[in-house]
Amino acid sequence: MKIRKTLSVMRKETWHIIRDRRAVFLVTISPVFLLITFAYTLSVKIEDVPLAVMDYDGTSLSRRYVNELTSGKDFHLRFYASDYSEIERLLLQGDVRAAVIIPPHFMNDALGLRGAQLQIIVDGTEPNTGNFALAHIASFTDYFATRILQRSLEKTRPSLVSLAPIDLRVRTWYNPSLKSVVGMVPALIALVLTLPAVSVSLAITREKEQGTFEQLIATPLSRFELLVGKLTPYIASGLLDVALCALVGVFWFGVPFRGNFLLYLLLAADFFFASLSMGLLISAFVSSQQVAMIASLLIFLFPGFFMSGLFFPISSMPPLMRMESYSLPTTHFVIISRGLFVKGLGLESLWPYALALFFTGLLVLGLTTLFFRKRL
Amino acid sequence: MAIIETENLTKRFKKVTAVDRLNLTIERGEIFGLVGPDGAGKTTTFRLLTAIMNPTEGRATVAGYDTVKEPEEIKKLIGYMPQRFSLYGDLSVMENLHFFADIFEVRGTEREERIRTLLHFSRLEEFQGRRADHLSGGMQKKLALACTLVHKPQILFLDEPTTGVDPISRREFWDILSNLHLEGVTLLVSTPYMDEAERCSRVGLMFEGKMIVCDEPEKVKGLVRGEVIELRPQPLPKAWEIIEGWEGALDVQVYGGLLHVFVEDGERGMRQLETLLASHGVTVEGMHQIRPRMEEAFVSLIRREQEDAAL
Ligand SMILES: Nc1ncnc2c1ncn2[C@@H]1O[C@H](COP(=O)(O)OP(=O)(O)O)[C@@H](O)[C@H]1O
Ligand SMILES: [Mg+2]
Repeated sequence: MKIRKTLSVMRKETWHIIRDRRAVFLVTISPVFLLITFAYTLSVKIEDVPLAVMDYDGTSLSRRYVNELTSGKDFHLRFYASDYSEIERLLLQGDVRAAVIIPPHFMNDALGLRGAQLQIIVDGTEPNTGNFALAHIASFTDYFATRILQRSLEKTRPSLVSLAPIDLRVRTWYNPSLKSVVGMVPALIALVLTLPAVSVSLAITREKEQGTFEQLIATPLSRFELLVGKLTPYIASGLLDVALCALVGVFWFGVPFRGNFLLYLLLAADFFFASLSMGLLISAFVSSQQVAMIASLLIFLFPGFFMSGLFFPISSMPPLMRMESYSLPTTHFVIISRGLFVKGLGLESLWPYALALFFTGLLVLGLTTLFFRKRL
Repeated sequence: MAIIETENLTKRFKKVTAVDRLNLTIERGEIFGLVGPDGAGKTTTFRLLTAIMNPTEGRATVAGYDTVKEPEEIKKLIGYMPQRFSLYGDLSVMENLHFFADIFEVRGTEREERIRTLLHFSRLEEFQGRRADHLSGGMQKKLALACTLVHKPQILFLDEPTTGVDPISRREFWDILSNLHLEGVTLLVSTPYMDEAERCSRVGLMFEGKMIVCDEPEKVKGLVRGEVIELRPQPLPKAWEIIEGWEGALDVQVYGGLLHVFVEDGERGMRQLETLLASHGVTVEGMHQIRPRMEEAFVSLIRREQEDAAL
């Protein structure tokens, strides 16, 4: 490999990027754009869930419970049902998504600490709303119950009061509100940063389509010089994306950045080395931009979405799928990004993932050099 | 020793045999013209010889190097200008030249001098800073040629360098090629224009992957059977029909309002034609015997090939 020739390819490639408005958009703005879109789409807050209540108890406590439950933005009290069949009808017609049934003696049982019971019915046809309703009613009820408990304990055994809030906190962990999705931003960054890999696979297939490839392979430019020359400007533009995405994460979504930013950039470069090499490998086999685009989306974006541990924990996947997960660079970078961004972890705990990325990159680049032919 | 040599060089695609058992020898310093209609296999031949495509069968050596085993050695010595414009449209004239100078490792004062010379002869000095895709077709071709010349190649492969170029630029282009030829560069040029074939030291006529003839232009023209009579009949379609049916005509070709009739003996043919056409009420203007040009030669050679294939 000759440095001068490689530099020349790099310079030419940079010109291609900065002189093409679409390319500029693709390598700089689009990851940020995608990040914001994903974060908002995934964090659409469920509000005003229509609710029916059937209060058999009719006491001051049951009324307070209903009032407090429906006073926030989460639920909208649509109906007071008078019997069970009415609730059934309301749910069936979709007039309400959830119903709370308060049995007789609710107040008595609760204040007497005899384990008051509540029945919650949720419309399962819309699992998201259903889960949300269930989780919210459950956590609210816990909170409500704790306060009752607290008050009755205050009267009897004041020393035990401090026990109560613990339970409350545990429950709010399960709160799927905006806050947790914002916590997902670092992982989403890992996902959207697969876009430079798409760009690089397009960069080579574009030359094939435009015929410049034919000219290039008839020169003494070596495969390695060509590949490295193509790779480097896209890694650089990727690092710019990292910075932009991190800024958006911190200042737009308010996610605290607790790790070392330089280390983050370094590990991102490591990630780009692996993922962009894969992009190059794709372009060794296909000759049209369209196919390259589809192939790289299939390889990066969709598995990145479902298999990188972004939404579904890898530990709960079947073994074969788990292996596939770990062969994706995105998976490792999701872990790195989450760990470094939010938890402030350093290399001492992230090194296995960094190493995995590095070797993936070496292996894939090696394969690319093997399969990439200076032939038509 | 021959600078280019092929031995049963063959390239088959799924449906067609683009190059069919080609045996070709080109000597150092030749200016060899590859002519033939679209789809004849010219481009594929260039790709095989420039070592960017592997043959299905047979072999080829360029400057003594095997195109399959030692492609990179070949690439240092040759310049290849593909048929399609294949420079970077978003790079300027100068940037394109420098890019190719870089990858051919032409450096220092030699590089500056080389680029200056190339800009001068291609008359692109005023357009140095212009993006390549904003140049006219003729200028693009000249820039492409300049880029393939940056490293002073020994052998130059030019695939249809003048297609789609205006006649004046075509002339200029051929003057440049003649100069290179005089400097000792070996040139392999493909063209669909028969008049350009006349400017080559040897021409090869390709048709459906096969090399039908390969010789000096004069000798190729000598291959035409019979003599050629040119005439301007009125009405032409009727005259054409009559002559086609006449047993004395070896071949009839139409060129605009003119007919070219191939006969065994020119003098006798003209007398016979005159009476034949007059008897059908066709008036004839300016009938005279002509020397066959490359064009007539190729058309009649290809027709002969087609007739042989049909038999
Ligand atoms: N890559 C290819 N795949 C399939 N067929 C091809 C390919 N390249 C050329 N051909 C076919 O081979 C024949 C010769 O083509 P080509 O060498 O381009 O001829 P020419 O340059 O003389 O016009 C044509 O029939 C063409 O369709
Ligand atoms: Mg061609």
